[in-house]
Amino acid sequence: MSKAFFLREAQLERLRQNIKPNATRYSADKPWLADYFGSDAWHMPSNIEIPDGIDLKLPISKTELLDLENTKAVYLALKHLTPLQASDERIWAYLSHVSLWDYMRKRWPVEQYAGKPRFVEIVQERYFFMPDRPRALIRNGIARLWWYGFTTYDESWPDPFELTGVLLKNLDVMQSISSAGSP
Amino acid sequence: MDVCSFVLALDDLPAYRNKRFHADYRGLSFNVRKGDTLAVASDASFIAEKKTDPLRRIPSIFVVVPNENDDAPAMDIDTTGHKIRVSLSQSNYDAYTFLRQAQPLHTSLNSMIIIPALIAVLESIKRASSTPDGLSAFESRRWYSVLARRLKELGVDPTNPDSFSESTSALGHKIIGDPLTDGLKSLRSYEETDDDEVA
Repeated sequence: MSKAFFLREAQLERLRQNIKPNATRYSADKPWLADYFGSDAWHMPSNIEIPDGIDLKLPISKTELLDLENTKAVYLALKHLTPLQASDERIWAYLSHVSLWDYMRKRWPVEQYAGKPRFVEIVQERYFFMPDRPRALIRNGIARLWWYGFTTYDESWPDPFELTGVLLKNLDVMQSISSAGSP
Repeated sequence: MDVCSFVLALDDLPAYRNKRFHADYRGLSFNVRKGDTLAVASDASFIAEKKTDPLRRIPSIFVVVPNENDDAPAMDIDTTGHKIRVSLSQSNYDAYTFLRQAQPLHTSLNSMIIIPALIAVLESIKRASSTPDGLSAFESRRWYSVLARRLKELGVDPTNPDSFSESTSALGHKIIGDPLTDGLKSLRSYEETDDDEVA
């Protein structure tokens, strides 16, 4: 275990301001924040313990996204987070941009939106928290996994994640319906 | 915070019936399991203000960042987050970070950057307060709580456009602590020192 890092507020705002000029960086194979910020102090350790590596499974296909497996991995690794800590954008932005970059690139590839009007919104939604959106917590690519676990994990069940499976199945149905109706 | 209230069954209720069921269900019974929802109340919501909010001080509600877009304006503001984000074109930002190293220049920099941003925000509060529900988008943002509290201390009700008896420019300078006067003094003394050195 080690201390979880979070992005410093000013650097988080600088990143948010510059999503568009950083478009090619969001398609990079490797995390890029250390190069981008250079010698600036851009991250800090928190008091939150985190395993040295959270092993997330990369999606196999567009239909096999492995959200249940990854919800288990994220929630079990960070089960000790309080809801207040889990509402802090700085932690999830760090995990999305740095520690779990490989997963983010495969699960939420944003290059398909590069140059399109929604690019900034999509990156903001998945790598940050969207302002003024009550659903922001379940739109960030990593925070959503923790919140799915938090709202459904029940140790009194033989499989504590049984309700998580039900929730994710229902989300799949909802998603299929909404994407069937969209262009 | 959104509050959603439910009445849940504490135990299994086999063949549950109720005389006050809607007419459509009169005479029917239901097999209710422990944890099932029996009733749902109307949702309520409120703004939860932090007692120890690190943003309580006015300077903390601003963050100045570079705008790295090629066509970046000299300065812009964004108020959609918890802080008021002031973005400067890259060359202006570089100059700003360089000048900020000199403590005597802070008031001048505040006059040039923070005050115009604050006046623009006060104008948008004033404008929003004149429409029904106009302020609702701001109310969940922490910068708004801090500014609203400070405005009330100055006798201005941010929800009432008529209570803005002074201009937003005058209010902005009051809120920040008149950096213009101090800034001009410090620039003047800088210029006078320079003249002395030449003489």
